[in-house]
Amino acid sequence: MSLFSSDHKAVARRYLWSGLGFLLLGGVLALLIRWQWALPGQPVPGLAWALPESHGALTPPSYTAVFTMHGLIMIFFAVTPLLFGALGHFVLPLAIGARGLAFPRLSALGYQVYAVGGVLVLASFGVRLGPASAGWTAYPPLSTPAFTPGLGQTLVTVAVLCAAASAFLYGLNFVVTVVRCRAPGMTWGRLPLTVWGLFFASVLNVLFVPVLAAATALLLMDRLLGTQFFIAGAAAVGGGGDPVVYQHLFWLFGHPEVYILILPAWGMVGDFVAFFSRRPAHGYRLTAGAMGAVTALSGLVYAHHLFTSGMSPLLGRAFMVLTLIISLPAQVMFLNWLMTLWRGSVRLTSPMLAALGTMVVFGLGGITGLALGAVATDVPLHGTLWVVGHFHLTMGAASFLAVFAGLYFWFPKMYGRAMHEGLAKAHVLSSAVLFLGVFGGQLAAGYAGQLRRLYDPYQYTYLKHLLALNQWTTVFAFLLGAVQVLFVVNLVWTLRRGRAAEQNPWEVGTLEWTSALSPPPEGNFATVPVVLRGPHALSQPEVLERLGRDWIGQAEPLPEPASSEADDALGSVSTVGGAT
Amino acid sequence: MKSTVPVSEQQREDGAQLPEGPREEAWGRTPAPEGAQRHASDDAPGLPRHDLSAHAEGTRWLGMVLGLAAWTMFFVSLTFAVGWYRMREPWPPLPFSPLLLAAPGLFLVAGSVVLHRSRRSAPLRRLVTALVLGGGFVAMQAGLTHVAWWNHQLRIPQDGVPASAYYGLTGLHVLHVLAVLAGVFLSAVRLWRGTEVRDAVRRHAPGWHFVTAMWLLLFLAVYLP
Repeated sequence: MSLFSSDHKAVARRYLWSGLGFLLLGGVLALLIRWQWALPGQPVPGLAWALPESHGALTPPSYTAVFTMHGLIMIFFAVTPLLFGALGHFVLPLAIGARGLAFPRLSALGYQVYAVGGVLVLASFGVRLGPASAGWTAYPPLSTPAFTPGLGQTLVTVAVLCAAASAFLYGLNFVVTVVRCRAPGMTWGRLPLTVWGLFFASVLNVLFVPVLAAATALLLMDRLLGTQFFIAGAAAVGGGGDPVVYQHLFWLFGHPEVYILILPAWGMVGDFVAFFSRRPAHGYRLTAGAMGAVTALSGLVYAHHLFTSGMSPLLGRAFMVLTLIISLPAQVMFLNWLMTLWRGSVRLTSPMLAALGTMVVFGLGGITGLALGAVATDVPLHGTLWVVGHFHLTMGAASFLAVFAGLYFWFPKMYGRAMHEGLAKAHVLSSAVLFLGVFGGQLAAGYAGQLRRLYDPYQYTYLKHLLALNQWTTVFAFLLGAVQVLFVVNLVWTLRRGRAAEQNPWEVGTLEWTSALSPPPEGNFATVPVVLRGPHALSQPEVLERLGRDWIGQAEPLPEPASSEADDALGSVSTVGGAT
Repeated sequence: MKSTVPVSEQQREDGAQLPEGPREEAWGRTPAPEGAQRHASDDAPGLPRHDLSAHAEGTRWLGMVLGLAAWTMFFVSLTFAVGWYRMREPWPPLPFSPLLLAAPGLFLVAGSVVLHRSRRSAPLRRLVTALVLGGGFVAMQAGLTHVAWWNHQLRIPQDGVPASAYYGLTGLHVLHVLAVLAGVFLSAVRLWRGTEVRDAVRRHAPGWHFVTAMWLLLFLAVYLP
C-alpha cells in the first residue's frame, strides 16, 4: 500500500490505522482522568517517567492538559476520522457504484493535512509547559496567551485547523461524489441509508467547518500576532475583545459537529437493522427525510450551549424550542428502526449487536439531552458531569459503537478476511454495557452536582459522598478499556491468520457486496453496475421463489420465470401482497 | 428488463424493484438501459465516451462552486464577529477616507470583468491583465496597512478590536486573493507554453468573483465607520 496512493480504499486504510492509534491515545487519557477522580492525587502506576516531580501523580496542570487532549483527540483525530476518513472513504464510492471519489487527489491531500495535524498534536506533548490546557473547546480567555502561554496550545490550535481542513476536503468530496458519480440507476431513492447519513453529515462538514476555521484563525491571530479579538479584562488594552464571540462561533460549528458524528452512525444503524432483520427498512424515505430534517435544523439550535452566557431570555426561549423540535425527526428514525425490527428474522451478528447498542446508548443520550435543551433545567445542570455523561452517550458511545458496527461489517470487504465473530460479539456487547456503567455514573454524579472539570471534587464537602460512585464509575471505565483487548486480539489474529472472507458473508444486496470483489481492486468494479433496485430488497417473495434465497443484489437481474410458472407466481405474490 | 411480477405498495416504498415504467432519473439524466455495461476505464457512469470529459469538467465545476459557496461561511463568520463588536460599542473610523479604502476593490471588480470575458477564450493578454490587477489590489492593501501602521500609528494591540479587525481580516482576505492569483498565474504559464487552459480559467473566474464579493463584505463590516 503506497503512502501516497489516492485510491479511496488506500486512503481509508490510512485513516483507519491513524484513527485507531488516536482512539487508543484518547482512551488512555480518559483512564487517567478517571484515575484522578477515583484516587485523587495518587501516583498512576507507570507514569513516573512522564511526571517525575510528582512521582507519577497527576498535578492540576497535567490533569487540565489530560482532559483537554482527551476530548480534542477523540473528536478531531479519532472518531470523526474513523467515521468519515476510514468508513466513509471506503464505503461511499463502493455503495453508490462509483469507481472512486470525485476528487481522488483531494482525498489524499486531506489525509496528509490530517496527518500533519496529528503530528502536531503528538509534538505538543513534548514541548515546554505541555500540550493544550484550555479544554477541548479552547474557550478564550483560557486559550489566549494570557492564560495558556506555552507553545503546546498553539500547536494544538494549528492541529485543529488541519483537522478542520481535512474534514472540509472530504466533506466536499463526498457531497460531489454522491451528486455526480452514482452508477446508472442508483437514484436518490436507492441509496443505502449509510450513504444518506454520510451525505448529510458531509453537507454539515462543508457548511460549518469553515466557521470553526474562522474562530480558530482569530484565536491563532490573538496568540501569534497580538490581536485582541478574544482577550478581555485586565489582560486587554484598548477596550479589548469579547470571549463570548468565540463561544458563539465555536458552537455554531460545535453543535452541527454532534450531528456530523451521529448522522453516519444513524445511517449505518438504519441499514444494519434492515439487513439483519431480513426486512426492507421500514419507512426508508421517512428515515432519509428525518436525517435531512435534523441536518437542516442542526445549525439553528447551537445557542442552547450558551443559555448561561447571559443571552437574552427571548433568544434562549427560541433556541430551546428549536432544540426540542430537533428531537422529533430523531424519534421518527428511532420508531422506524423499531418497526423494522418488529417481527423481523433478527440475526444477532456483531454489526447488528453494535447497531442495537448504538440505538440504546443514543436513546439514553438523547433523553438526557432534553434536560439540557430546556432553559430551566439546563441552568442548574450546566457545567456538571450530567453534560459530560449526556454527550459521551451521544457523541462518544454511540459513535464508537457505530464505528465498530461498520468496521465489523465491512472488515471482510476491506481486507478480504473474516474477523472472529465470537470475539467481535463479546467486544461490542461488553463495550455497550460498560458504556452505560461509565456514562450512567457520570450522569448520576452530575445530577448530584459534581462540576465537570474539578481536579479534586472531594475538596468540596457537598461532593465528598460521591467518591464511592466515582470509584465504581472508574472501575467500569477500566473494564471498558480492558475489553478493547478483545478487538485488538481479533484484529491482529485476523490480519495474520484470519480465514478468507466469503464473497457476501452477510447476505445483503448492496453494491459493495454483490458487485465487487473482496477486497475490491483499483477501480472497484470490473464493469460499472447498473442498479435495478433499492438496498433493502430482502425477503421478497419473487426473489425467494426464483433464486431460492432471501436477498438479491442491487444490480442483479431477477431471472424471468418460465411462462407457465409466471402465472402461478403472479397469483401467489398478489396474495402475499394483499395480505400485507 | 420488464418483470411480470407485481410488487405491493409496501415493497415499492421499501425500495423493491419497480417492475414497470421508466426508472427514476439519476440527476437529470436517464439511467443507462438495463444490461448496458461500461468499460473498466469509464469515469462517468451512464454517459457516452465523448461526454466523459464534459462530465468530469462538470464535476470539477460543481466541486469548485460548492467549495467557494461553503467557504463564504468563513468570511460570514468573521463578519459576524466584527458585527458583534460593532453592536457593543461605536466603531471608530479608520485613518483613511472610505473612498481611499474602496479604491483597491476597483482592481478586484475590474479583474472579475476581465476573467469573466476570458471564459470563452483565454488569450494570454487577458490573464496577464488580471494578474496585474490582482497584484495592484494586493499592493494597495499592503500600502494602506503600512501607512496605517507607521504614519497613523494604528497599532495592535494598543488600538484594540478595530485595529485587530483591520489588519487581521485584511490579511486573511489577501491570503485568499493570493491563492486565486496563484491559480491564474499557473494558467497563464501553461497558456504561454501552449496548453489549453479554457476550462481552468473558467474555474478561476468564480474564485475571483468570490474574493471580490468577500472584499465587499469586508469593506462594509470593517472599513466603513
